[in-house]
Amino acid sequence: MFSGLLRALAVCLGLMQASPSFAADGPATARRVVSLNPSLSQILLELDAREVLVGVDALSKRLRPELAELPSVGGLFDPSLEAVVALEPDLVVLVPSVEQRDFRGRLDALGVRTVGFRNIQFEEVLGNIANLGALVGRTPDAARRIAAIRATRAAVEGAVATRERVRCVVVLQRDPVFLAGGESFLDEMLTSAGCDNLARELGEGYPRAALEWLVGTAPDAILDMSLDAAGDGAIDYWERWPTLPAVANRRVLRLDAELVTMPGPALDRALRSLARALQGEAIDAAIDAKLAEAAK
Amino acid sequence: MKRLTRTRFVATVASLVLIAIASSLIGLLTGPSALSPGDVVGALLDPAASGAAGDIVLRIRLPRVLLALLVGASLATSGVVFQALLHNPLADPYVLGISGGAALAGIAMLSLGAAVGFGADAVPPAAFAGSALATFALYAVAGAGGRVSPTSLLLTGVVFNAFASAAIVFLASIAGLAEGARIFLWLIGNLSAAAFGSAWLVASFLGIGFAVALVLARSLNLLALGDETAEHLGVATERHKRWLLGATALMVGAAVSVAGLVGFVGLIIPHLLRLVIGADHRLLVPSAALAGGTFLVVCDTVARTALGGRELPVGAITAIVGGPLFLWLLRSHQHRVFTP
Amino acid sequence: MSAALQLDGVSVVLGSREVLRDVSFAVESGEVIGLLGRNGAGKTTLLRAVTRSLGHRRGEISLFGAAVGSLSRRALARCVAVVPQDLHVPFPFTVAELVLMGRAPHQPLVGFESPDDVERTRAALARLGIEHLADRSSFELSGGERQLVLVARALVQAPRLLLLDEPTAFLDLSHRTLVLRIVRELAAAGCAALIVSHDLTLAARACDRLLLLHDGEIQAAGHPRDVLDAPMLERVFGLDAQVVEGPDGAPLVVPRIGG
Repeated sequence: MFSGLLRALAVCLGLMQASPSFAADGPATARRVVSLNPSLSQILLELDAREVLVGVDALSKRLRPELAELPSVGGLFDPSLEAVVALEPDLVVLVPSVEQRDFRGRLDALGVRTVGFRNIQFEEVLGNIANLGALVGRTPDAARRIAAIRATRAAVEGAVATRERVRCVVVLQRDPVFLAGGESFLDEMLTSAGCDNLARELGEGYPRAALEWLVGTAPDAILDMSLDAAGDGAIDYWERWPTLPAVANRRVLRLDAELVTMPGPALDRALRSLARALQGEAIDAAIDAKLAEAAK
Repeated sequence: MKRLTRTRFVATVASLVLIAIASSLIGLLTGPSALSPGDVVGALLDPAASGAAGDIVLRIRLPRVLLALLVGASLATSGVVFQALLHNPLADPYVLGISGGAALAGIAMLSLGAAVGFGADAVPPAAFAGSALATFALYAVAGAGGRVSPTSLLLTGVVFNAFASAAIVFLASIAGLAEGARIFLWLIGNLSAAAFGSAWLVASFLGIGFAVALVLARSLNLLALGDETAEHLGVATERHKRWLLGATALMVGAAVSVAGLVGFVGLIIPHLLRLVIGADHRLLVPSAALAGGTFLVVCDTVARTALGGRELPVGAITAIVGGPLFLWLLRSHQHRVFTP
Repeated sequence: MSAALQLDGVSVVLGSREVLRDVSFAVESGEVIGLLGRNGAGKTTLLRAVTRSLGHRRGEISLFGAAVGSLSRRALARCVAVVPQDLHVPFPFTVAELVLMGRAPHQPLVGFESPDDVERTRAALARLGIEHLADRSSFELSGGERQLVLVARALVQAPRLLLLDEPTAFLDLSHRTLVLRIVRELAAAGCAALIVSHDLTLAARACDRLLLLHDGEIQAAGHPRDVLDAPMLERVFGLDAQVVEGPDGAPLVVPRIGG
C-alpha cells in the first residue's frame, strides 16, 4: 500500500511550499514528543530517543515495529488534532507539507510547540538529524550519525570516481510513469553513487514522464522502486521494451524503496545500496577501503 | 430544397476520413523524442522494426493514436445518441451514470484491488463490468412500467452519478497517495496506458455500438423530436431506445474503461457538426465518430508533446479546448445550435 | 366496409382520474369529425388513446376493422397521421427535413429518400405555401409556421385517417381556412379526419359531424346545426352565446361579451 512514491510525494509536498522550518531555540529538552512523519520518527529511534516519543503517525508505526506500542495520531495527511492534544506533548515535530502546514497552524493556535523540518535536500536531512538531536538532548549521537553519513558519502564518491558514470532513471511508479526528478536528496545520492539522473531534465520533484521520452532517452539502468517491484511485475513490464539498453543489458534494478527514498537517519546505507546496485557488489570492498583510508 | 443525398453523404464522410487520416499521421510524426519523418515512415513500413524508432512509432505512438481515434469516436457517437434519446442538447456520454458505474468500479479496483492481488490490468475489465451493471440498473429503475422515459432516465442517471462520485471521493480519501495519483488521472481522462490489446477491445465494442446507431439513425431523427412524435411516425420507440441505450453503454463503457473520463468530446463534437452538416443523424452519426476520433488524436498529440518529456492527461487538453469552444458556440450560434 | 375509426365503450384512467368514460363513436372514410369541448374535457386524451400513446382501460378501439392494439407502430403510422398542437425540436432540423420525416413509415429502415418522397414533400410545402421555408432551421419558425410544417408532414405521410389536435391555434384566419380546406380535400379523396378544435364557427363549417365532449363523456353528437345550440354551449362550455345561422347556412356562434 505504501509505496516509495507515497513517501516520495509526501516529501515533494514539503518541497512545494516555503514556510520557514526550523526554530530550535525553544525551551529545554523535550520529554513528550509526537512525530508526524516517518523520517523524523526514524531519526529519533536512531538517536536512541525512543522513550521521548508519546505518539506517532500511522505510517511510522507500520514501518517500525519498535513503535507498535505507541498510540497512532492518524495518517500522514489526516492527523487528528484531538489525538495529538490528548497526548499532552511538549513538542510536535512534522514536515510542513501542504496538509501538515494547516495542521501546524491549528496546533500553534492551541499553544502546542511545533517544529517543522524540511527534508528535500541531502544537507537538510543532515540538519534535521542535528536539530532533532539537540531538541531531545542527543546531540553527540546526532553528530556521530552525521559524521558516519558524510564519511560514507565521501567513500562512495571516491570509490566510483574511476568508474564510468551510469545514465539512469529512478521509477517510482509505472503506468503511468513517475520518476524521481532533480533537486532532491535522492538525486544527490544518485550523483554521489556515480549515476546521471536523466529525469533531471523533466524538472524537480517527481515528474510524470511520457513512455516515449523514456524509450527515446534510452537509459543504461532503470532503478524500479514502484509498488510491486519486488515481484516479477517490474521485469515483465520492462521486457516489453527489449530495445531499451537497460533491458537488453539486464540492468533493470529493483531496490528497497523504503530504505532509499526515506529522508531519514540511514542515508549512508541508502548510498551504499544504490552504489552496489549500480556498480556491482564489488564496489563494497572499494568503499570499505576508502572508509578505512579516511579513518587513518 | 437541401436534403441528405447519397452524394452529400459520401462527400462529407470521405472528407472527414481524409482529415482523420491526416491528423493520425501528424500524431504518428510528433512526440517528445526527436524522430525524423523518415524514421517514422521507415518504422511504419517495416512492422518488424526494432530499435528505439520501432518501439516508439509502432509500440508507443501507433497504439496511442489508434486508441485516441477509437475513444474519441465512441464518445462523440454516444453523445449524439444520448442527445437524441433524451431530446436534450446538453446531454453527454456521461449523463446517464453509465460512466459513473465504470469509474466507480474501475477506481474501486485501482484502490482496493491490489490488496486482493489484482494488478493494474484488472482495472479496465472491472470498469467495463461497472458500466454494464449501471446500464442494467438504469433499465431496471427508469424502465419500470415498460416505458423508458427520457425524464426518468435523466433523473436516474443524475442520482446514480452523484452516488458514484461520492463513493469515488470516499475511495480516493482512503487510498494511498500512489493510488490517489492514478485515480486523479483516471477522473480527468488519460490515454497513457495505450496498448494494442485495449485498442482491439474498444474497437470491437465501438464497432457494435456504432453499427446499431448507424442502422437506427433514421429512428434517431424521429426520436429526437420526442417519443410520441416518433411513435406517430412509425418508430417502435421502446425497442429502439433499448437497442440504442445498450449500444451506447457498450461504447461508453469501453471508452471509459481504457481512458477514464475524457470530457467535452461527446458534448462539443455533436454541436459543432450540426452547425456544419445539419442535424440529420444518418450523416451526423458517422461524422461524429470520425470528427470525435480526430479531435481526440489532436488533443492527445498536444498532451504528449506540450511539455516535452513530461506528459499531460488528455482530459485536461479536451477541457481546456472544449470549454471555451462550447461557450463560444453558445454565444455566437445560439440560435442555430440550441433552441431559442 | 368497416369504419376508419371505431370506439366502443372506451374508458381511460390517468392516475386516479377517469379522463374518458364509456366513449363510443365511429368515423367513416371520407368524413370530417370535429371534437369539441372545454379545456381538460379529454379531447387530447382521446386522440392519444387512438394512437396507443397511452393504454386504455376498457373498451375497443379499431382502425379500419383492426384492433388498434394488434397493429405494429409502423402499420399504425402508415394509416394514421397526427398533427400535434405544437412542435418542440431541440435540434436544428430544416423544414424540408422535418416534412420528409413524414415518409418514415413508408421507407426502409436504412437509406436515403426516394424521388417520390422528395416530390411529395415539395408538393406538400407548395400546398401549404411554405416552399420558401424549406431550408430554414426549425428554430427560426414562428408558432404558425411550425403548425403549417406539421400539417405538411402529415400530408406526406399519406394517411387514411388524420388526427388533428388544435392544428390552427397559432394560425391567422386565412391560414386556418387553408388548413381546413386541405382537410376537406383529403376527405373528398377518401381520408377520414378527426379535428380537435376550439373554433366552433370554423369547425361548424369544416366538419360533417361534431362531437361534444364534456367531463370525459360525449354529450352530443351529430350535424353541426343540431349540436351547436345555446343551451348545449351553456352546459358544455359554460358559455353565454347566441347561435345564429350564417349566410352559408351553417351555425354561427356569437359569444356575449359586453353587458
